[in-house]
Amino acid sequence: MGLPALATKKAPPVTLPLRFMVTGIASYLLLHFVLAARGRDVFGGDYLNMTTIGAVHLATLGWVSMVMIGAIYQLVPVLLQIEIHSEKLGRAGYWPALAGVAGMVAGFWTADPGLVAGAGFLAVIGFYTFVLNILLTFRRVRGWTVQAWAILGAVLFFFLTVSWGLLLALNLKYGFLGGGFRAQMAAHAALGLAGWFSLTIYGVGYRLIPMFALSHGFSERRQGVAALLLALGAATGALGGAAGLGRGVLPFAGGLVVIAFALFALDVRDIIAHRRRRRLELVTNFSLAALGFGILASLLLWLALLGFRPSWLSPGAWLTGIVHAALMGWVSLMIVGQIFKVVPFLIWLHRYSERAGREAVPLVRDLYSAQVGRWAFLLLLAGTAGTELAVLAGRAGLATVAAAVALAGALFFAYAMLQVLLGLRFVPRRTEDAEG
Amino acid sequence: MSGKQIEIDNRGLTPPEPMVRVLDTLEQMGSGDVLLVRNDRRPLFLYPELEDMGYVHETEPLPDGSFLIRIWKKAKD
Repeated sequence: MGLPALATKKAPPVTLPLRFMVTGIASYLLLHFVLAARGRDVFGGDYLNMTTIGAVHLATLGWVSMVMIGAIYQLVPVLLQIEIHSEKLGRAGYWPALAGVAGMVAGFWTADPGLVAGAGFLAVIGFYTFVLNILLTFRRVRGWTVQAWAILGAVLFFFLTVSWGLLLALNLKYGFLGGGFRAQMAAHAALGLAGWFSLTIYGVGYRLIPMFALSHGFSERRQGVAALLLALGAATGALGGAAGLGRGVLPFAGGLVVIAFALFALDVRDIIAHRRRRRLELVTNFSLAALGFGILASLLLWLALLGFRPSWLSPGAWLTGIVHAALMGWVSLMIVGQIFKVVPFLIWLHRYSERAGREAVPLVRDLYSAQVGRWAFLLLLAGTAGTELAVLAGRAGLATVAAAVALAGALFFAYAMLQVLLGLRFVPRRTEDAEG
Repeated sequence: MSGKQIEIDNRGLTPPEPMVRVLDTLEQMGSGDVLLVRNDRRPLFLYPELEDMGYVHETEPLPDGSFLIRIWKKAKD
């Protein structure tokens, strides 16, 4: 049975990665509702409010982490040709993670510390289960490619980010950590954004981007260096923040991250230049847009670490601008683009792969409407860019309007995925390509 | 009207190299030529490209688990 390139006989049933990804997509939609409805609280510069903290955890845990867990469960077997250690463990870890994140976000939004604590404990269990499952899986790796190292590093950073979050929460009650709140937060952000999020994107992206662009023959020399610099930047940023060594260490760490992004950008340009697919597809458009935001975010971060801040922005608004570019621009848009490819593929595999060749089956891309996808891209790009510009201009009201545009984009995105998941759009193929 | 028959063997290559080889070969073929491709997998992401470019394709599963894909240019009316 010929399984296509995003699958392998060793992969777990698609329902394991799919449940995480669908949870992520639902979280993404909810997140946009909150940003559009409560924009003034989130973008106003005074970010230490329950709305924003809840939204940040919804974004980082409910949206990005959930999707990345699903992607790693699907792609580690494909990329590294090894089986996931335990599918049962993978399924088991989903429920505490889901309940935990939902409870934490609800707890923040209702200002209920008990709920946050209890749910947080559940979330940690769920996420630790995933980390354990992957670490046990990696015992079987034979060929240690750049992608293998990047994914292992990313998962270890995820473990550290979650553990540090747990320590920060306990610290709020028992006060045993030093370094001050801002340094502690810097460590949390370095571990999560540069370590868990960006290393996963590098590890998975260096494989998927050329595959989706049909690109071959580009140089792979920079990949290892880019991933290594990113990991070093995340580690030094985290250690520097945790140890309270603000002055020298953080700009150095930020510099490493900027260089890592520059190398990644050069590699993506090389990959696109070697593409055989003539039209630029939806996934490539999202990836390029995401890359633009990534470069912006790393430059802004570096400026901030060197002590610069626009005179018209409060420190809170400046930080919001950087985090928004990194999280809603770089990370989110990259993931949305990949989802447009991966989720339809997984559903196709689940629903049609047995029937291919014996009856007319749809093309993978026919599972959702191309027009809906185009609108999702245009509105998400316009909305995210508009929000970013407004935040950097210190205009929370305008940012909220732009967030409404982004919400419209998210609705189109969610609808496209609904079409795929519910099979709303089977377009019967002509049978001229079916065997007689 | 019969043209050349070109054969390529993509077995053992990792994605996206198989699809890239097919597209590169098609570029050098004439309108009457036929391309026969031996692939480890059904090239799911290749089919829409072929159809966009005006090619017709037939896929035949082979006894050893690989696939033979026949590709030729759609005749103009």
